[in-house]
Amino acid sequence: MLTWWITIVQALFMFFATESIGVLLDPCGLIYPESPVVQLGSNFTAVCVLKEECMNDYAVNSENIFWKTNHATVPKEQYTIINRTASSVTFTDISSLNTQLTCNFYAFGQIEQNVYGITIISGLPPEKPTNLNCIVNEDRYMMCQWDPGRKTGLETNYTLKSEWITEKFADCKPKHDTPNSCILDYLPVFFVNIEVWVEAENALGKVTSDHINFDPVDKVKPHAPHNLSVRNSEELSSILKLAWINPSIEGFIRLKYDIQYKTKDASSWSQIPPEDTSSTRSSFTIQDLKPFTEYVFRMRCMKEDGKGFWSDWSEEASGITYEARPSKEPSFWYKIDPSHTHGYRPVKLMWKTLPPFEANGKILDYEVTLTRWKSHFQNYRVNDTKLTVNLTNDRYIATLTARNLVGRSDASILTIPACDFQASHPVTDLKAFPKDNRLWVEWTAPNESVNKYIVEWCVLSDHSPCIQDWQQEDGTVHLTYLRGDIKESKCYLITVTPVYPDGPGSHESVRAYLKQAAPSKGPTVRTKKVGKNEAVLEWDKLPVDDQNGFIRNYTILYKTAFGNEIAVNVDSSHTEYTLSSLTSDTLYMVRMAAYTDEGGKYGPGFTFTTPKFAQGEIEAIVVPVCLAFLLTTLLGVLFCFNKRDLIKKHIWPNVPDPSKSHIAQWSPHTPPRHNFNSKDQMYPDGNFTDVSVVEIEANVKKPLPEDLKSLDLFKKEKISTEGHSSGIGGSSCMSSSRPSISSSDENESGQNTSSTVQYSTVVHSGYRHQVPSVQVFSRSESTQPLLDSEERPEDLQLVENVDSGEGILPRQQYFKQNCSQHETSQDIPHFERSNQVSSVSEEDFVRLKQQQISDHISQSCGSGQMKMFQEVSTADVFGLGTKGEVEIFETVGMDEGMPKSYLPQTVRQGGYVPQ
Amino acid sequence: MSQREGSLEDPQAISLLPHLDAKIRQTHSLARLLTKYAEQLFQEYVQHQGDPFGLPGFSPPRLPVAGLSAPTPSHAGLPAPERLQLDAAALDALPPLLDVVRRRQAELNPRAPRLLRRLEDAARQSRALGVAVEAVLAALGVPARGPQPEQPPAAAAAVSTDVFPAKVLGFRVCGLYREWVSRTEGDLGQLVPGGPA
Repeated sequence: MLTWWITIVQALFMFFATESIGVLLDPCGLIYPESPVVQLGSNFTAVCVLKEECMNDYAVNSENIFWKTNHATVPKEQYTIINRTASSVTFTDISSLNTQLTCNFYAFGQIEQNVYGITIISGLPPEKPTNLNCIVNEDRYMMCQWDPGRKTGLETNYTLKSEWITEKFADCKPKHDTPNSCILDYLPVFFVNIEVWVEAENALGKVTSDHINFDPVDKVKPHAPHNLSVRNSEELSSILKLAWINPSIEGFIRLKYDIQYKTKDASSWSQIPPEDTSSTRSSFTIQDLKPFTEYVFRMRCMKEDGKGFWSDWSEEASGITYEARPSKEPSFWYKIDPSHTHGYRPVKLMWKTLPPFEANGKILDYEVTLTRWKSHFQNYRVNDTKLTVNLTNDRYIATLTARNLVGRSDASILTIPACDFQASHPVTDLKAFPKDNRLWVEWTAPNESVNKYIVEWCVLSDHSPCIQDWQQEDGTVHLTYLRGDIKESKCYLITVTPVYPDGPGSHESVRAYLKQAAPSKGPTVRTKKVGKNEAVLEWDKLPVDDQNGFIRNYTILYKTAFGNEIAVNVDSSHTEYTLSSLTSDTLYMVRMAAYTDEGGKYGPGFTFTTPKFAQGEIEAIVVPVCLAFLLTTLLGVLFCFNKRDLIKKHIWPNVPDPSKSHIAQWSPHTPPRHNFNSKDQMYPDGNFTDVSVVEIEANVKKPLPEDLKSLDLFKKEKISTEGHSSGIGGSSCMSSSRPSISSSDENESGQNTSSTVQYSTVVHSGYRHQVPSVQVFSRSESTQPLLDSEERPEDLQLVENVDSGEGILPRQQYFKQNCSQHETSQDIPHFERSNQVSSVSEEDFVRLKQQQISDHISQSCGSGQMKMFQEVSTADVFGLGTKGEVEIFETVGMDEGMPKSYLPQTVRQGGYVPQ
Repeated sequence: MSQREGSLEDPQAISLLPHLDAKIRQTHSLARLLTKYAEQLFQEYVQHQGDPFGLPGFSPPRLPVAGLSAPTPSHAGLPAPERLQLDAAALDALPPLLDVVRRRQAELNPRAPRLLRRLEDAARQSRALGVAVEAVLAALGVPARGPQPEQPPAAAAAVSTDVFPAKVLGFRVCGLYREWVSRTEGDLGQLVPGGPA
């Protein structure tokens, strides 16, 4: 029930929809012609006719019509108003293949309304087909093809028509994918002429090709001969018999053949002369073939008169010619093991297998004959290609023959010379070069007659031994290529040995590559020596396995961290190179490439830093400095050594050994050494418990002015205070009598501490037989602080001046003792003598004499003596002037006027009582 | 025998006419080809008719066929033009018979398209060979039509509605076709320069 209602609804819907579309599609007019096909370049006129009801509805007529082609309005000049309802448009020279043409008007003068539209199809009529030709495949079909000519732009139908005289055959319609050929669906009958032609037709016309009339047998392509077989002949090793079965058409037509053959591995075919195969046959004998060689054959056929087409090639067939005697003797060579034993030498005879074209069959074995003397033979039958025999040191003749099923080859003769044979006459101008993917060897033959040449080669490698391969060349050959598995990028050592009737000559060798390549790895560069501005780089030559070619040159690239890279090319013969003009104290990066003819390869990079100083530069600075220092030290040591007594006197003053003292006897006859009276007078009360007496060295002649001032103060202010404190002692052994002067400036403090400070007595002369020193110190255990003057450098200078003044003393003694003597010759002895003075009286006496001499020099010495004095004065420039010297003398005079008083406390306290 | 006919007996004289020579050769080759085809057709026909047609030694009676006579033993003794005229007449009569046989075989062996195709081709080829022989005769200046035997047209021959007689008729027509084509080949072969191929 529901299905029934659905069906009714669908039917009603279809009815109303159809009615509605019919109304909607009712056009306002029509265009004639409705489906025009126009020839390109021709004129075309279309007419648009409006319907009356439409004209009334929209209030338009034919004058309101305008035309559009492909949505472009056609100019009104092409319009023609035919009547009230019809308007035409004319196009000249239609050029586009498809044009949309519409008829339109403006409804109510404004709304564009399309009336009707058509498509103008344009094209060309078909051209006459040409080159009609047919091919008849035997027993299969006949196919005809033709050239259709220009494109028409329209759908064009071709029809192949054929007929006999007696009847017409069905038309042949080309398939869509092969519009220019057609295969007849019937088998044409040979020997009955058939007429064939092509008709081409489209909307603009129909055209027929020329008729061709032919016997189908003249257009036949026969089947290929089949069952091709090859058979050899035991009688003749140079022929093969070829047999086949002809195609079936051979029963009705005569055939000719095309027979080709080649050896099994060849790529090109050889052809039997056509005149030998120009008639029908089913077998053929091919001659002049190589023995024991496999040949491949193929053939085809066609109608004998050449009309028609060649058949396809038959399947290939092969056959092997029969064997023949080896046509050439084997290559023959030998090697002598150098480790031969007494009287015998192991000789390795070796030969090459004959190539098939020379073996002419399967080689069954080889026969080797060794002839030592004419009557002495040794025969060997060998299946291998080598034979090792122990021969004596005599000369041998070795012969070799190869044997196959048919016969033996000629003998290959080799002379093995005696042990003492000297090879000579090598080839010259030996060179090897690659060409056509082969490695060629060329040489210049020696002047002597050469039986043959032996070319040996091996691959040079650092990892494996040089395993030689070899080949033999005729004596007339001077150019050949290596017939072996020659690899690219391998270094071959090629040796050529000429073989003379009496034995092999000297050999020559050459290295070569079949094809070079860039090295596998680059050289590893390192520094041999690095200088401030240069570096010597060195590297090892690349192993031959890595070279891959002849190393032509090296390229060194070096640069600083921020600088440009500099390249240097170095000849391949070098293994080191010096980089110059480098900057000192700079890091350089260097890498190196090795180049062959085919490219280069860089090795690992290497860095080095140039030093800041050149080699020896530091030494050039340090050594002189050290030498100078040493020299200075040495001079100082020498000086000190010379002045050791003086230094010793300053540093380690002689201290009288109380244990060795003895009480002198006071004798009224003995003149007092010192005038103690004055001291007594000065310090009559004897209040001082400890008295330090500073005896100013009488011969200290050149105190500084400050010192003199101090002395003046001493005289003026402390003249009445005999018990001035002395700075001597304490912690300074270098304290001189000067601090004692300074200490007097602090007289009060000295007095305050005098009761608690143990003072030492300084005696200005040697004790008994001890060597007198200029200043004698006695170590004190006083804890009294050091006086300021002890730390003043001028005081130290004073000490030095005192020392230097001591140096003057001997000269003064010289003046005293021998004023007329030459200074240089008497200086040191006088000094030594002065050291020998031991008694205080003598020293005092000397001082007095010095004063007298000084006076004397200043007054009575001759001119020469004055000169000496001037020299002394010059020496005093270091700190003492003549004036100062005079003042010192005055001071001395003051001392003389103020007798020194030596009153050692120990005498009174320790029981030491001067007598 | 006319001088002209006599000249036809002389192969050397025929060879003087290149076009005629080529035409004779072509027609002879066609006859030879059709002989082969006729043999194939006969074998194929026998193959499709079943027993006893395919049995060895099967030899149905040589019934006369309307409009076509079998070659007589005296045929070889006739002059060449006459023989060719007889050949042409027989070849001209064969196509309708072959068409009749094809139609009957189309009913009997509709699934033997090759046989049907061969029958169709045989009719066409027989016609073509007849025309070729007539052309040779025309080239030789001999009228194509000689004295026609008093035989009803082959197309009007009564065809039995029975299957076996129909097969026998076909067997007979195919055999006659083979004989006449072969005979024509032999007749033309005598005209070919150099003797029979």
